[in-house]
Amino acid sequence: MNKQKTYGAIAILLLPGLLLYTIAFIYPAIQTVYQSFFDWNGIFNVPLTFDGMNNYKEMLDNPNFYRSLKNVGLFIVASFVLILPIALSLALIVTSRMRGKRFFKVAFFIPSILPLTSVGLMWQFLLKSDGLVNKLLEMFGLGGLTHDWLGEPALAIYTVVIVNAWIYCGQNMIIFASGLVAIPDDIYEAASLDGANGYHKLMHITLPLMKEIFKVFAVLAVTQSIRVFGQIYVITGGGPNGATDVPTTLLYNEAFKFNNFGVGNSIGTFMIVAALVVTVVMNFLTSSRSRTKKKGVQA
Amino acid sequence: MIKLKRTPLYVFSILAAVIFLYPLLYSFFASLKDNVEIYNNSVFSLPDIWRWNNYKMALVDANISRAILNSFIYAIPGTFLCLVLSLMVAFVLSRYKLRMNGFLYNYFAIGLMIPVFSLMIPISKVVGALHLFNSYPLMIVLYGVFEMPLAIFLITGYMKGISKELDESAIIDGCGPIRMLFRIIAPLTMPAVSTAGILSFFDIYNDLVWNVILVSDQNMNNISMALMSFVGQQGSSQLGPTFAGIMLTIVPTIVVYLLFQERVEKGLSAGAVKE
Repeated sequence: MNKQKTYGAIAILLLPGLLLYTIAFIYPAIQTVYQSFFDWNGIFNVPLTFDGMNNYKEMLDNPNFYRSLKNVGLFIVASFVLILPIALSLALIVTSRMRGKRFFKVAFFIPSILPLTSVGLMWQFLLKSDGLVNKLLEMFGLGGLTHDWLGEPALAIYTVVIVNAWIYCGQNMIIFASGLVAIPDDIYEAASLDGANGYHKLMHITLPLMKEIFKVFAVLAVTQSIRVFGQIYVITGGGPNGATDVPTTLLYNEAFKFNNFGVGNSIGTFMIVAALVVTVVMNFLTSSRSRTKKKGVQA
Repeated sequence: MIKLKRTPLYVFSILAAVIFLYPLLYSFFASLKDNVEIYNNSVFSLPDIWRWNNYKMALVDANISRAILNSFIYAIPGTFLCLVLSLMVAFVLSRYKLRMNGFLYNYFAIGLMIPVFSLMIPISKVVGALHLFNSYPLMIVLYGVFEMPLAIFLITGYMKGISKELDESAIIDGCGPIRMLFRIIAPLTMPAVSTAGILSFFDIYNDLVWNVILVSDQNMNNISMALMSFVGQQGSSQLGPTFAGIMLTIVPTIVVYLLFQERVEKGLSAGAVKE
C-alpha cells in the first residue's frame, strides 16, 4: 500500500463526519456567538441588524436571567444533597449479596430510561391539586401538607428538582455501582479480620476508593444541570410566572415565543461560554486534587 | 463488600422500589379508568372495568401509533448514520499517527461540552432559509451528528485498545484502510459500538426540542410532540386516554431495556461519563 493511497483513504474516512459535524454543530455554535451582537425578528428574509452589546445588556437587566441561574444552582445543590446520598445507598444495595437485588436494580433504574416527556407529563398530573400526591397525603392524615405543587411560584422549582432526582437517581446508582464492584473483596475481608465493622469499612475503604467516581459525579452534576431543559419545558414550561425558568427555557421562550432572537443568542452564548469554562475548571480541579493526597472524599 | 443488616436493608429497598415504581403502576391503572374513577375512588383501587378503549383513543385520536413509528424513523437511521461516521473518524483517530489527530480529537470533544440547546436559533434560521422544515432526511442527519461526539469518544477509546499488530498483518496481506476498518476493526469494536448505539437510540427516540422547533407537520411528530399536543388539546378532560398515551410511549423503551439490560446500563453510565 503506498502512502498516497493511504492518505486518500484517510480523507474518505475522515471527511464525511468532519464536514457534517462542522456544518451542523460547530458552525451553528459560532453563529450563536456572532448573532448575539445582532437583532433579528425571526423572519427568514429579514436581515440581521447590528446591535452592539444591547442583547447582553437586555439579558443582564432581566431579573428572570438571575432567577434562571439560581434555579440551575438549585439543581446542582440537589445533585449533592439529594441524588448523591440516595444513589450511593441504592448502589450499595444492588452490589450487596442480598436476594432480589436484580429486581431492585431494574426497579431503581427504570425511571431514568423512560422518555423525559412521558415521565414529565405523568408527574404533571400526579402533582396537580387533585392528583395522586395530594390524595396520598390526605390518606395518611397529612392533609395540611397538600399544595398545588407546580402552581405555587415559591414551591414549583423545588418540586421539579425533586422530580428530577426521582428520574436520575437510577442512572447515578449505576455509575456508583460500577465504582463499587471495582473494589476488590479481599480489602474488606482483611478489614473484617482486623475487626472493622460495616460503618468503618464504608468510611475508610469504600468512600476513599470511590474518589474517582465522585469526581466524575461532581463534574456531571454541574455540567448536566446547565443543560436541564425537558424537565422544565414539559412539567412547568418555566412557569408559574417564570419561577422555574432555567437558561435553556429562557432562551427558547425569548426566541420562539417573543421573537427576541438576539437576546436568545446572547443567552446561548452565555451557555456555551459557561459550559466550556465549567468543564475546563472542574476537570482541572478534580485532576489537581488527585495529585495532592488528601484524606477522605470531597465530592 | 460491606455486610448490611438484613431487615432494615429490605425495608429500605422495598420502600425505594415503591417510590420508583408506584407512580408508574398508578399511571398504568389510571390509564384504564375514566375520570370519575380517577377522581373519586381510592388511589389504590383497580379499574372497575378495564377500559382498553382508552388505549384505542390514544393510538388513534392522538396518533401515538404514528408518533412511535416516527420516533423509530428518526432514531434507527439517525443512530446508524452516527455509528458509521463515528467509526470512520474513530478509526483515523486511533489507528494513524497524524499530526492533526490531537487537534481533531479536541475539535470533536468540544461537542461534548457545548449544550446543543445553545444551537437552537442558528439551526432553525438556516433550516428555515433553506425551506427544510418538516424533512425526515434533515432531522435524521441532525440527530446523527448531535450524537457523534459521544460515539467518537467511546469508540476511539475502545479502538485504541485493539492490538496494532492486526493492522500490520492486514496491510501485508494487501488490505486497504477502508476494508481493514469494516472487515477487521469494526467487528472487534462491537462492545463500544453497541454501547454508543443504544445511547444515541435512546437520545433520539426521546428527543423533544428539535421536533418542537423544526417540525410543524403533525404527521411527523415524534412521541414527545404527539403527547404534548394530545395533552394540550384535552388537558384534564379525559385523564384515562392521556395516561394511556404516556404508557404507550414508555413501552418501547422498557422493551429495549429488558432486551439489552447490561448494554443499556453500561451505555447510560458511560454516556454520563461523557464530560
